[in-house]
Amino acid sequence: MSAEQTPSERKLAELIVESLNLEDIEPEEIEPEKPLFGDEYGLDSIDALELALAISKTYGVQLRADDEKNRHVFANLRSLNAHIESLSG
Amino acid sequence: MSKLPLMTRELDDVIAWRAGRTVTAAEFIFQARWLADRLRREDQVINLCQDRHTFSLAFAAAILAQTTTLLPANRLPDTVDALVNRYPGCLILSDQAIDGLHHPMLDPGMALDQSGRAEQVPEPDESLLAAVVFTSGSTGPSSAVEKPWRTLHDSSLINAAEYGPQERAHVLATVPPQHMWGLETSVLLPWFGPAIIASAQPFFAADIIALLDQLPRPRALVSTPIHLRNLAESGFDIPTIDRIYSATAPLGAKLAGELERQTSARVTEVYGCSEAGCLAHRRAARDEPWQLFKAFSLLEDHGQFRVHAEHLPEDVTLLDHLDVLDDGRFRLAGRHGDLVNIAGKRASLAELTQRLLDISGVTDGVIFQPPENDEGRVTRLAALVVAPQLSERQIRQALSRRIDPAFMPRPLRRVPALPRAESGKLPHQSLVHFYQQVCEPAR
Repeated sequence: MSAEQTPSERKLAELIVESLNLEDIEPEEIEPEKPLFGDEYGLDSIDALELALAISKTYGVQLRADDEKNRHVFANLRSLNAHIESLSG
Repeated sequence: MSKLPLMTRELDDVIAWRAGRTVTAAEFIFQARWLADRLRREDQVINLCQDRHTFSLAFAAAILAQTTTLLPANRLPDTVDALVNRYPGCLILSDQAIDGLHHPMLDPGMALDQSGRAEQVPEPDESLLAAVVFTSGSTGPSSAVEKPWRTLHDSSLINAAEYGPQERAHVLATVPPQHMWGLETSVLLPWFGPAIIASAQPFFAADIIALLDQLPRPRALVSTPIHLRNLAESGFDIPTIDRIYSATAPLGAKLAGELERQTSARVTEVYGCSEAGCLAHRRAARDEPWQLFKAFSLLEDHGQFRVHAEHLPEDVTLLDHLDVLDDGRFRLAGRHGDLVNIAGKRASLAELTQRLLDISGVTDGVIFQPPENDEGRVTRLAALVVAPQLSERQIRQALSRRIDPAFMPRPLRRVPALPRAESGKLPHQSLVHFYQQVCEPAR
């Protein structure tokens, strides 16, 4: 079922909760296809910067926001995870 | 009526760098004039352009059309709607569609296709109300800062002399042009000093590095502690930078020193506020005290400081407490209670708390600033809420529709009651103590 996290998505969800100090949210609560930014989880652009830093340290990949496609990467947990996997490929 | 030039650059000077090509002052002014002819009937425009060069062009065009540019604190539909309600009939200028925004818009990007060169630099009236800068998401009168052309013209010359590059330099900025720091440095500085501004607004460290690599030296980076900390900690090789400018939040000597080491840049930290513009600078890596710009003077009144300058419409009360040293330099010594600044955005805690209390089902609550954490990291606000019938998630969702994301409290905790004194007041000490009891174990 698409609403369930895969093991690699869970790992990324844990990194998100930990690096952004999301004390109100448990990693398993982040639904893979719900928008990460905006109302649901309350994340903003400062979080995106923090998260990019944590991701580069953990996965060794560089996130960019210089084109439309790269901006969509942050849409949700699933797209972000898929993007990290494609970069680390 | 006195006139003051739109810029002090020569017509053949390169002032901008966009999509891999250079733009001269003559070309810029020609396009701004063309666009101005389409704005003459507007009393006000809201400039939401994201491309920095398009923003600058639209800003110059509005000045030439004697139209006031309104600069909202963010692009949230609620913020823009409130502005449109307050200035009925104002036109929105934007180079991109904005989700949730349904007002008619004009794309100033069409001026970029017009080729030609101006033969002289226009001279707008000094009394023209060139811009109104809104300092917070709410558009109450207290947040609207009026900028006559004379103020922008003079403060730009002051900035160019006090800290701007003294020789031709390519400048990259991570800050939005709508924000006062971004407006002064990335829009106006290239009109009055030897700066060539890149149109991009890079976000992640990898974006900043890729763009710096493309810019010829000498090059400068205009940014904020948030972006700079991210860059310094990224672990990437950063190209040599000649000057780094930081403002909007305290930079910290450690981070500034680290940046100087990694990039070879001289790091200049600039202090200011939307009302007064930039007004002091310092070498942060040496933890120097702040040096007030020569055009300003500092006045103290019962522990509150104001600045005076000839080019400002009125004296400006500073939001910070200052410790003034014998030589006239000063150190920042904390902010006045109610106002918070997060990532360069300002809000009143009382006002934010009121938005929380406006949520149906919330019977009591407070939004406040918990004790600061480590250097360079953004300290988020915290909220304690009494709302027996609501979940934390419901409260968070309701609140996120009412306030700017930067001010969203984190953590937001539901509690049975707040530690109010018998008088009903909420003393700060008991609040912090109570907060630590409620929230610290979770860390």
